[in-house]
Amino acid sequence: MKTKVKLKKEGFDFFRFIFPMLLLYIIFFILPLLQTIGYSFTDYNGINPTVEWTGFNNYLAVFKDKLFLNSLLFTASSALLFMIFANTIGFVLALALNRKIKSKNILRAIIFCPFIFNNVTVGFIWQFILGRLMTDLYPLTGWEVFKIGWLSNEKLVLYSVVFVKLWQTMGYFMVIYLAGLQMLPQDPVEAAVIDGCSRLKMITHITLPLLKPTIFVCLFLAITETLNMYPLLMTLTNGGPGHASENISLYIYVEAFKSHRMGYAAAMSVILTILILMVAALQMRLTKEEN
Amino acid sequence: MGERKNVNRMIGTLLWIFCFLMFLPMVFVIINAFKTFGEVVMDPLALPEEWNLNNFKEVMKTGNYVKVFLNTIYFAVLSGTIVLVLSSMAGYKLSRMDNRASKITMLVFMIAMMLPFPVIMIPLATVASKLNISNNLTLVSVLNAGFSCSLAVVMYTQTVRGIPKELDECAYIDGCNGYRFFFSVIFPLLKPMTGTLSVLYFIRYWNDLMLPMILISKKELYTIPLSQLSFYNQFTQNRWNLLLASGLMAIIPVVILYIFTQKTIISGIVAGAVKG
Amino acid sequence: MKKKLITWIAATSLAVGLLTGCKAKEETKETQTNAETSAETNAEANAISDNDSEKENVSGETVELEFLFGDPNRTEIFSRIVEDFNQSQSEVHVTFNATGTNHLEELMTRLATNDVPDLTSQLQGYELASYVDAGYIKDIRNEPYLSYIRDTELDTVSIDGGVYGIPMDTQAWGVFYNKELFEQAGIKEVPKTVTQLKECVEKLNAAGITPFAGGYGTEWTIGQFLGYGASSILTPAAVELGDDYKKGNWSFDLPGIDMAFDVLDLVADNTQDRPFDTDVSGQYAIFAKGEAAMMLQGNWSILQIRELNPEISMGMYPLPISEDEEDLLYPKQYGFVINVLAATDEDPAKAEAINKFMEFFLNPENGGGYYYDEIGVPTANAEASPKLDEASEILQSYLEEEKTVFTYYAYEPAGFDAESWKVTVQYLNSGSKDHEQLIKDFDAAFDKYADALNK
Repeated sequence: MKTKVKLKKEGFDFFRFIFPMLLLYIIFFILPLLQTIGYSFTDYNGINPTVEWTGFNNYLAVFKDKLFLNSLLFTASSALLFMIFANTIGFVLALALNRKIKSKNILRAIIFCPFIFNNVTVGFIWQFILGRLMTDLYPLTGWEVFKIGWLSNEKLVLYSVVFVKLWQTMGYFMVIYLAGLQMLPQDPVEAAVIDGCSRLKMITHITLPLLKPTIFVCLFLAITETLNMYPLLMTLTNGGPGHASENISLYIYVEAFKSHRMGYAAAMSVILTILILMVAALQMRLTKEEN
Repeated sequence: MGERKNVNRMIGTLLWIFCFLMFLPMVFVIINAFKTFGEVVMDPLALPEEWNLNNFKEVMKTGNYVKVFLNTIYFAVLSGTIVLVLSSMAGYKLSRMDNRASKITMLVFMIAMMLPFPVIMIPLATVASKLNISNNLTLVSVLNAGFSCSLAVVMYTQTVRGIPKELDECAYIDGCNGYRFFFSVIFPLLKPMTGTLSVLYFIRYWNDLMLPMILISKKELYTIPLSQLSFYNQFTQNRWNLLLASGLMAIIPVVILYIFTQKTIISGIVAGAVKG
Repeated sequence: MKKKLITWIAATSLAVGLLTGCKAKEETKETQTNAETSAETNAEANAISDNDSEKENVSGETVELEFLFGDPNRTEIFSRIVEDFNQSQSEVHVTFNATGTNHLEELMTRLATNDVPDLTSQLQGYELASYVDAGYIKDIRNEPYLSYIRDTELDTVSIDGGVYGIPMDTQAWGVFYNKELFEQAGIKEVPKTVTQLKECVEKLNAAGITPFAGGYGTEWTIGQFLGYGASSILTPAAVELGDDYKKGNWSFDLPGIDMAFDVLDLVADNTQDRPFDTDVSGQYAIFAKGEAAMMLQGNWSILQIRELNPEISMGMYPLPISEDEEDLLYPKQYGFVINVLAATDEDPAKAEAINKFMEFFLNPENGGGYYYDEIGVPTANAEASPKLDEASEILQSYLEEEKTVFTYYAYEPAGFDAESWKVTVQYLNSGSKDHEQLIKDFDAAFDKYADALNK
């Protein structure tokens, strides 16, 4: 049983140490989150401050909205693709860079470099490259690859978007995997070498399993990067062609600020929150089971 | 052994080719940033007729470049400082207390980690205007800190677990007052994590578009991504040369900074990844 | 480890140091930038300075006005006008703040964060209505400067008897054509019916000339087909329904729309390779280079084309969407409307200042009068008689014969336009030529945004 004094001290400590950050967090994150829920039941349009209560109308409309499903699908596919490729490419690059290569520090720095570029700039630079430049490179070279409508083909734009995001962030994943590789306990590795294990076997049976925590971190990072990449989409494709590359975050943004339907966008945000929390809870369960 | 060396050399060469291909498109971007609008639109692959700095000068003037740069530094550094100081304090106690209240508080903090920005951006604008926070870089930074502190709180909480509790008790006996004890003893021990987090957060805040977009509408208070978006909207349909020039101006200073600090940045991320 | 912290601390202190220094220098820096911009005679875009301290000393209080400007095609010329105005006198200083494709969003953010500008642009039709409803826009029916504008041109800026905008240029949409290439293909007259248009396209193809320049990469270039090109069908129908239209009782399934979509298909089938990868600047380039004979565009493009190829011999005719020559109307509206914000009423000095500013360019004799000649298109300004670009000749004749129709665009509910462009692009991408489905898609988009008509 804690003494009264100790309890008082704990309370006091809580206030002095935890409260400042907690207060800011509540005012600037939790409160707005609750407000979003509030707005989702109204017809707020962002311009006129007077709003009317509309109950669950927005939610019903969301479930009927084909574009909402479209954006969820795009988000999920891009997240999946990005997750797979970012981790694979990052891992392979890390393996390559883990060897004794003379210029490996420079190489590492170069590959990591695009990660520090901001999303907006990366977006329109690649729009220029994949759009304008490619169009003119075809008559010049005659290579088929330049004839493809990377940003204008509804089926391909998903891959183009993931490609640009990979260009920007693969260095980040590479660095993390590199760190993980360098921290590997050497004993199992040595044992494997003595036993005469082939390189590939060593990778699949020893390296990868030992890297599990790193892999989990990277998977989580991949998902958050995908959800937050809509500034990139804004300048790369603007959700186009049509709605083919419209991410859920972009769709919410467009509905709220361009179509003046903030109540509706709020409803979508609430649904998105619930979905993400479910996925997060699932992920936590899986990690707990692992441990 | 020789074979190993050859294999390594081959892999090294492959990596160099990879890097070359990665940045080859940028060469065209750079070329076009020096052309006139007509040249860019009529023949994007050609070299400019005249190599001059006109585009860059115009972007510099139009976009009030130096101010935007400083705004971004201010925003990133201030938000980062607030987050690191307050989160380390919170993480410390959350780890030590280990009771129901602290566990619940932790979960509360973790909610924000998964949720993307659009989920709260709508009311953020209204809250901000009621509290008169928009268009005030200092207050926006405070808001930013509150909004994005989750990662820091979680990471600090974990790191503090590695610091022996005995240290706390020593101070208690010595009669050290809480804050002073924390900052003179505990905080320095958190240096590695602080290093990692400062790198991660700084990059994140530097490149953040979403928060400044909602809260800053005065052009002279723009941060770099916001200024880039404004240029994009202004120039995308009729001034590609200026747009590309502005893009280069947005990333070149960062690259220069990066060249000097890249070892620090990368090792910071490495340290965090290992702990995480 | 130590190195890291040191680098970080150094960076922080450097930044903080720079900033304290900077805040102090801010005042002096702004006056310096001011002097530089005033000295330049060819300023291209934004003037950022808010405090014209040099001029302040001359005459006491300078009234500050902010103009949140949203027309990318008029940015260059209007920034010059503002520049000239600021230089010509010292009682009023206008800060020119150009936005771009995100104009309405920026305006909305500004209004939401209570950072209201004094003047803005682009608001007309139903978009304007939401802002008027919320009380943001000033009723200028009794303002002196309104006298410059022809009464007949106030349709899209009038709501319930009040006037909420100043229309400037007569903006029209149609088909630009290259006169030389037409001659080359043996086309003697511009097409006035759908059949004639088809013949025209055939002749061009026979001569090895690409008929249309397409820029679908920028959605509105082809998306405007509905809002502008089909106006002669859509606008009268919407006007006739009146209140019913506002309630959302509307469908795009109207007589003649099928043939209009045939024309859309015709255009799409006869553009250059890869129109989806070409954006609007690419479209201008193709037309300006003479690689295509025609392009569907608005007359706001005239300035851009002249910049790319000053010598080009071009004209612009209305797109025929029916077989009836008599029915052919030129879709027009005001692409450039200036709106005054209601908040300016709070400061009596501002009303006077706005008057002065408006006089500067609305009166063609004043310093800003060169606007009308440079634009090269007809204007809503009764006093100005602009020198027209050759591309505006046909439009002028249609205006004189009163064979014009207000673009349906002005009647679209807020948010519908961007969605309709996407619907159009998706339709073209699919290649299905399923007109019925297209109508359904447009209808669905309309229903989604129809509530906005009532706000």
